[in-house]
Amino acid sequence: MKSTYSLYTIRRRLMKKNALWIITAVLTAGFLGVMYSFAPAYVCSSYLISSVFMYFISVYISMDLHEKENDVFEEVLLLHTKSDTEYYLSREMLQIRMCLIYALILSFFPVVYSVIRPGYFTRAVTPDDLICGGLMIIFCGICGAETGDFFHPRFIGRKYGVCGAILITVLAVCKEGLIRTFAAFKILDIITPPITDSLVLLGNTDSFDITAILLIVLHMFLFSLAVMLIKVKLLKRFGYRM
Amino acid sequence: MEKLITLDNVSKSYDGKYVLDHITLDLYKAQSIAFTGHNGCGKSTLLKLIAGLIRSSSGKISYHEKIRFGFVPEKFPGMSISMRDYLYSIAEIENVDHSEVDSLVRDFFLESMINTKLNELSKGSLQKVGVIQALIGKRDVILLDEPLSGQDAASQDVFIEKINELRGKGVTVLMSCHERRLIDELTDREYTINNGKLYCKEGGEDYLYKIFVKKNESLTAWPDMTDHGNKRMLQVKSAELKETVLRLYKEGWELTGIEEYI
Repeated sequence: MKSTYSLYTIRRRLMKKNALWIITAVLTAGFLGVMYSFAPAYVCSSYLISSVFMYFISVYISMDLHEKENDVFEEVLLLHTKSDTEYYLSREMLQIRMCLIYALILSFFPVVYSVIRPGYFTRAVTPDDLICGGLMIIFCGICGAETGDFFHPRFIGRKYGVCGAILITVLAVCKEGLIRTFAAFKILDIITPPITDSLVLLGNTDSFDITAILLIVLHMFLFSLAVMLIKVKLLKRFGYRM
Repeated sequence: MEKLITLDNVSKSYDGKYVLDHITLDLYKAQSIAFTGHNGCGKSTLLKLIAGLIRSSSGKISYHEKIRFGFVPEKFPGMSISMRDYLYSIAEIENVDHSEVDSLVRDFFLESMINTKLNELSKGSLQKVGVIQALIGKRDVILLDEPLSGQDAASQDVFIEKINELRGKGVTVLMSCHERRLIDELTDREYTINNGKLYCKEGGEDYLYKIFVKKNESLTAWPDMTDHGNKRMLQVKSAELKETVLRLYKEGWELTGIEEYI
């Protein structure tokens, strides 16, 4: 665990003055500015739309991070580890850390905003909203990170990787309509992240069904875990490019 | 000698072109080998295949025990992290005290630059960092890819001393380089890579020679002769040298020189 943390520390230090922070901060600020400019707003749909945004931001973060990886630097790091697991875990830790930072901002923003601007939301933001909404945002972020990182340039060209990530995202967003039209598209429930399932479940209500949210979060966790395991297997199989 | 790694008919191709072609090689504990050859012949590729960093296109690489590799890349990348942070983190991963890092940094005359970011270092200093990180921790095999690129004479001496210390401890050293001094002082066997094939210099049988003959329009050039200015050149294995020279004389070719091929 100490080695994994040291590897993660190297990666974290490399990210200190990275332009990625600026781009994602600007995108998040822009999103919050637009999203919370129309009043009154529903609490639950605000959180759920933020969770979808979190997914997009995480895809972008993970694809930017892996594009910036230097093969020689990574090769040297890998050879210092006692096992591949430490190395690959340190990569996951960095991605999840970046996603968590933005997830916390998006989760707490409605709470802070409701204090600054009372009456903005149709009802008070409760701790249950923060927990359910926060979980949705965090796990959508993790789904996005794993989806984006899956299309790693070590085994798929950059162009195809970007197209693949876009395709999976579009299918994830549109799958409800596709499944209603063609039953065969049910497979999309397995191969795409369930980022819009909560929006479908919510319907016209403005309260979280905790059980349903936990099931969706579990689905996201299992999806992310499966994608991560397949990705690591492929990365080990393909090795480095040069 | 204890066998560590076996390469069995290993080939590596990029975009359909073979860089390494059916290489078979056994590597033993405490061996020290130099791989030589022209730029782009596959030396770095061979080292990375041995370390398991890249996958072969065909053939098999077997590791007879768990091996800890150290690797000095040809061009250590300049990243935006300070030398201190990077090397101390590597030391923590290797479970080694920071004092060992401090000692290596002093030995390689980098003390004054320890807080400098890697992407702000000169080429030679950066390469020294590449060497230092490979020396941190316990190693079974150390892979050196043009390790002395851009290094001053004093650092070269330190490097040779450190590598010979490792050899004394039974570490296997595999090196790709062009420098005769390094090959003579650090290795006990030399292989040349040519057209994807591996030729051993020691023992002579598979070693390559270049034969130069004067161009003669009245004689039919052999299919494997190549133009070399006002001469023609032929590459032969040492086992075929005598026979080839006799045949050339019989046909009337005028020999102008024979060279060892590196």
